[in-house]
Amino acid sequence: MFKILKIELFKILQRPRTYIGFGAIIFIVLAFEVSMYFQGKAIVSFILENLEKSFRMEGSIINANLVTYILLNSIMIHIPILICLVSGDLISGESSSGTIRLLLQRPFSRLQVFGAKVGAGFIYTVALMVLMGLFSYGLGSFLFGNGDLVVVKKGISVFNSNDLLWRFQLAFFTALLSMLVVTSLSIMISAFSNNSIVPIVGTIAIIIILNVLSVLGYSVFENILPFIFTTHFNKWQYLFEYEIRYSELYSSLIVQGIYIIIFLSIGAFHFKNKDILS
Amino acid sequence: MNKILEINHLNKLFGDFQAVKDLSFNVYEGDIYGFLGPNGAGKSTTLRMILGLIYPSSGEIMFLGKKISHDCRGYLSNLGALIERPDFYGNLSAYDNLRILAELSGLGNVSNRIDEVLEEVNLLSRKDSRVKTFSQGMKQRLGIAQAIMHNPKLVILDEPSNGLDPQGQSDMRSLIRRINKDRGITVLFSSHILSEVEEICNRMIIINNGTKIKEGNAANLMNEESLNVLVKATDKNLLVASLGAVNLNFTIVSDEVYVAIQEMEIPAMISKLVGRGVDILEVNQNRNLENYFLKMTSKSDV
Repeated sequence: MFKILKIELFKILQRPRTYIGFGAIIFIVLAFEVSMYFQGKAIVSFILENLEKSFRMEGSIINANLVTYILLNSIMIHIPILICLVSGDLISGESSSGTIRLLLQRPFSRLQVFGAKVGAGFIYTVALMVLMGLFSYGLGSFLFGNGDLVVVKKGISVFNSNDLLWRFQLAFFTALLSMLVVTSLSIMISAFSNNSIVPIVGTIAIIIILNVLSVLGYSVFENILPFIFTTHFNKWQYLFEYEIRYSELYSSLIVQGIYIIIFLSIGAFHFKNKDILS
Repeated sequence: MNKILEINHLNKLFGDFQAVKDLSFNVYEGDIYGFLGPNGAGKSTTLRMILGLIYPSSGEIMFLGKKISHDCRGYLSNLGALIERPDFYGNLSAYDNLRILAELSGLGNVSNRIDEVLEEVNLLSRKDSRVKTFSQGMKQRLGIAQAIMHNPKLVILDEPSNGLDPQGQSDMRSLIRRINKDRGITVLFSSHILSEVEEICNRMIIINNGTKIKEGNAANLMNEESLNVLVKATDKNLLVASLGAVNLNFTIVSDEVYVAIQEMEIPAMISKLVGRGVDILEVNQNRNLENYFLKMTSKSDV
């Protein structure tokens, strides 16, 4: 199993599209932080205009913690697309190119091959998230230095810089789980498709549709929203509240874990039993 | 000779369509076994079932005396295959492609082995080139290299000469003979190019519509064919009526009349037909496998 995983990672690293994801993240972080460097004060002043009338603000609000927090907010929009580029292609790409035949003619079970592909997809997702976290915080520290985090959400919360590391660590873990749901969904669709475009477009379409349902907030969907996985994509924000709603956070993690298991089980079952006709 | 592969009453259904029907045949150690059939006959489906790429609906596949179970894939370490197109990871070099496949096949000391097989298929000088820069012929040869790299007992080649020019086809035939003779690898070989099968296979099966039509020694099948003589006349209806009148057995395939007759009886047949006013244009004792194949598959279509 480890042997196949190593080979799957080697194949991922040899593909140009793998680096599109890493390149895009570097570009997004760079573009955001450089613009914050030059125009950030004006933007923040605009946002906090009303607050400054009521409170006396000391120190730099724009710091590594703030830019990392803001960038973490963007993952729901950008990272799923970057994940799908690679994970959606893991099985369907081999089916469309015909190399799946070569792979499945070797003395490994299909479940082992599927497991290796899931492992490779997960490692890629983790790598993207780690790059984003480290690069946004590292560049932020270099450009803005460290400081307290001001979060404006249903009021204003200020977190001491010494109280932030664990919050960011847990927030990244929670957000990572959401991204692993995306990875699992795209791998599941990939197992059904012989065309590598379908899992990419399919996954993004599903995420957009479910997000729209969440945003519309129609009462008819109210009861099912807690069970829709996209509803949980922003639950990491609970970690930036004074009173963290742990029970809701745990429920969210469990729901997302169940989605991962369901998507991968369906994908594995289909991959194990399908006839390879390509 | 030991049986290396036994196919027993194999069936495959795709929905309502039965691609393979009660197919049985045996491949013996040392064979170059030809697998003949027109497009859609069920050849590739059968070969894919042997490799576990497609699951049989029913029937049994025995390899090296053991029943193949698709949950236990260990048997594949003794099988090599090139199924249809030789697809590789185009962005990787020939060497990297073979290294990946060698590692998956459980080979140790991969580097020397890869060089050895690349030399055998005459691609050693291109080992570091990306496969996407290869011609069709080079990809086919690389396909053979990956199939034999782990020294399997049986190699399955599904139309390996497809898309090759005459020189490439000839080279491919030589290569297949070489791996069979020098390495002692049994070859199960499907092809549309019948002359190729006729030239290199010692045993063969003809299938059509998923069903076995004929199986046996290639030379014996040719002898059977010698009993069927193609007769052409200016008036086909008169020819047919005359053949019936002189009690000769005949078949009409694709508008052509074949008479079942011994070679020695041909002059007497001609005399009788001429005596009945038949103007004979041609009497042809076709002995090649192509005619036999076309006749057999046409019959089964009827």
